[in-house]
Amino acid sequence: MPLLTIDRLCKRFDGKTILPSVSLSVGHGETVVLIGPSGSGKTTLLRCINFLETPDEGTIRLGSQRIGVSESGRALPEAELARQRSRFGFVFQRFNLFAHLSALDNVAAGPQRVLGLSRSAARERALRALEQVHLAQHVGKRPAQLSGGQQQRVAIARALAMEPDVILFDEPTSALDPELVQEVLDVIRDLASSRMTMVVVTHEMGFARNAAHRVVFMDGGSIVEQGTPSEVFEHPREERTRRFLQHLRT
Amino acid sequence: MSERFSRRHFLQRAGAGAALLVAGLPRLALAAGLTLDEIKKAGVLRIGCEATYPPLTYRDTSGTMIGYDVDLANAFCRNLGVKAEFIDTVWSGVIPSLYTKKFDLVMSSLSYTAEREKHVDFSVPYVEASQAMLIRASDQKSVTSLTAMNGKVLGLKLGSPGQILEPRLDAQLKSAGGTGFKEVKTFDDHPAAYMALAEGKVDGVLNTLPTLALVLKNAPGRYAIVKGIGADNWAGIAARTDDTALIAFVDQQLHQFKSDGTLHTLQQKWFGFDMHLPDAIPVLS
Amino acid sequence: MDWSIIVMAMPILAVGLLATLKVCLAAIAIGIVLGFALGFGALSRFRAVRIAVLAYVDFVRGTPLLVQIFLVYFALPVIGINFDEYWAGVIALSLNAGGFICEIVRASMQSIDRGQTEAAQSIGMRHRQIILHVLFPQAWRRILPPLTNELISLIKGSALLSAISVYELTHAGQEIIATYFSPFEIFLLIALYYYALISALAWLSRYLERRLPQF
Repeated sequence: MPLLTIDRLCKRFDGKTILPSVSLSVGHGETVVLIGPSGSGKTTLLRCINFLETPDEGTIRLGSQRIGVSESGRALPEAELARQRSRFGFVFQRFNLFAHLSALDNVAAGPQRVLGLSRSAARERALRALEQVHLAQHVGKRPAQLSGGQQQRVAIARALAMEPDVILFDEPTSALDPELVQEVLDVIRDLASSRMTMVVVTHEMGFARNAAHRVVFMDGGSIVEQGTPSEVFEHPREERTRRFLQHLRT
Repeated sequence: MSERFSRRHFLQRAGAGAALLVAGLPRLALAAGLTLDEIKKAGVLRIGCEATYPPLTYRDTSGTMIGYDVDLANAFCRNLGVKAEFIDTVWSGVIPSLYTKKFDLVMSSLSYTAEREKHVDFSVPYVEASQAMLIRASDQKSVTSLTAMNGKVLGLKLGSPGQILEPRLDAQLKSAGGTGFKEVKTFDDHPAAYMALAEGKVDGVLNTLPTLALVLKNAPGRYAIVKGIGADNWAGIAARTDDTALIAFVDQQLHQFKSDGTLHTLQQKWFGFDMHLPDAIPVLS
Repeated sequence: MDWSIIVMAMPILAVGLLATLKVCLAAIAIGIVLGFALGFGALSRFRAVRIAVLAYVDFVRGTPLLVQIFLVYFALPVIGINFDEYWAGVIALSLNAGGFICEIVRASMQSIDRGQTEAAQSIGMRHRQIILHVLFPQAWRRILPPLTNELISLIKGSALLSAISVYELTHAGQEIIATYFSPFEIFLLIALYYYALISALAWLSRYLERRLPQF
């Protein structure tokens, strides 16, 4: 059974339909990369998964549990929704680290406040997560004292420390200077090989080729085609996919 | 060299000038005294008053100023050939306002006090200003004289004759063996003090007898009056000390109104009784 | 310039200043607690709470402070709530400041980048936790300057309490003027006393702002 199931998701903003009806499944340990032109709805889809946006129709399931809505379709109480969200990790384009906390406290905040760990246990876990992203020597620094690439890695550590079932990445390197991009992509690729279940929205095609198990091409709010990296990049079936890839090459 | 000196010289002069200006501000306001011709030329005589002081100066339902003072002022202004203009003012600042020339006379029962006589020129008395005390109607059996106020709270208006009288009353109570007033609360105007009385925040309010008589009339059954507080006193019309011609005119008019019955008519109309007014400014201890 | 009046007035006004201090300190303490509580209320996830807070702030901002003072001192007794002038003054000032401080707190927290809230939501924090652990610690720097302004307004507003017979600084000065007729010297002295008091507050605020961590 797939870990994450998105079934006929529909999302509208101000009367405009961004996602008419999207269905997608992600298996355990799979890394799915979403590509497509801007405005294709990739980010909206991602934000609907952990209910940062509320879908208008459709269901999202993590394992057998329905996300964001009770089985009968009523909105969940706030505490329950928060609990469900903690099963997802979300890495933002603009990092969104807590500006007033050190790197260590940023990563420890979730385990302490949400998972209820003691402060020392939370910090212990945070330290291990920061080691995993190669930032152990910067634990005391504030976000303002870190480079963009370091901040994003702290953000990834923050997600990891919650031991989520799935991690969602929303264009994780789009806001970074080019020379800082690789260190972040390396971390994400390591996670992919360690069989973390991930959905990554990105424009980094090289990364998609190397790290993805499956590539999904979206355009105009719909999934146009999907397959292994070599299938999508070398042998695209759809005209729209071909045109998009063509555009990238020029 | 000459540049430096002249600049310092200028600064010294400017500094001295500013100091003089600041120090002499009250005095600068005192130009030479007003002549009656100047007033006639202006066509109006401005009179500072307090519009919440019935029945001397207060507003009727249409907002027009009426009262004993208004009628009296209209009478002598008519004889001078000018209009009387009443300017409502915060009572505690009435004499400073007189000197910044917001107006040229003060009415609304400015009572004679030794301190005031140093700063203004008074006319002869034009109204009685003896003090009485307003109490709640429910207290009239228990509070029959000032001695009942031992250990009670007194309400006053800032700048009123009652406030000036209070220390002497307190001393009077204490020398008779009492504890004096428990507390004295001072309000900006009498209506606020009356409200405090009605709500039990104070137990007695001092004001002149005719004014309190009107309060009784307007709020029947709520209050009562205790008479005979302090010595007899009166109020005069006040002007700046330089304006001798103006005060001489007012004095002359008051003497005339006494003999031709104008004062009698007005007092009957506004107070319901004739007042005993001395012919000269009372000597104060 | 009548120096003898100034010399005589200074100790009398110092008593008034002390009364002003007592009233203002109490009102500031209560006003801050109330204002912050209302500020959090304005961000509540329950619509009814938000609307109630909004209505309260609307009233406090929409009526003059003097009228509010009169309401507390003269109008409440009609329904049986009777305060003496000191407490009426403290309560009126607190209720007034509370409304303004509420808006300062609410606006400061809402001005924090939405990404902070989304990141906190993404790791599963609840609304209450987000406000307390993410938004509020970052809002302090934004709250402090307008909060200081409001407290300065409160101190100046305490001068209005003379209307309900509180013997504070301005009232003390008015009494001297009523007897000695020296408005220039007395009001100048009063202004200096207020200036000293408010300057102390402003200095404290700047000191705290410097001490707050920068981020």
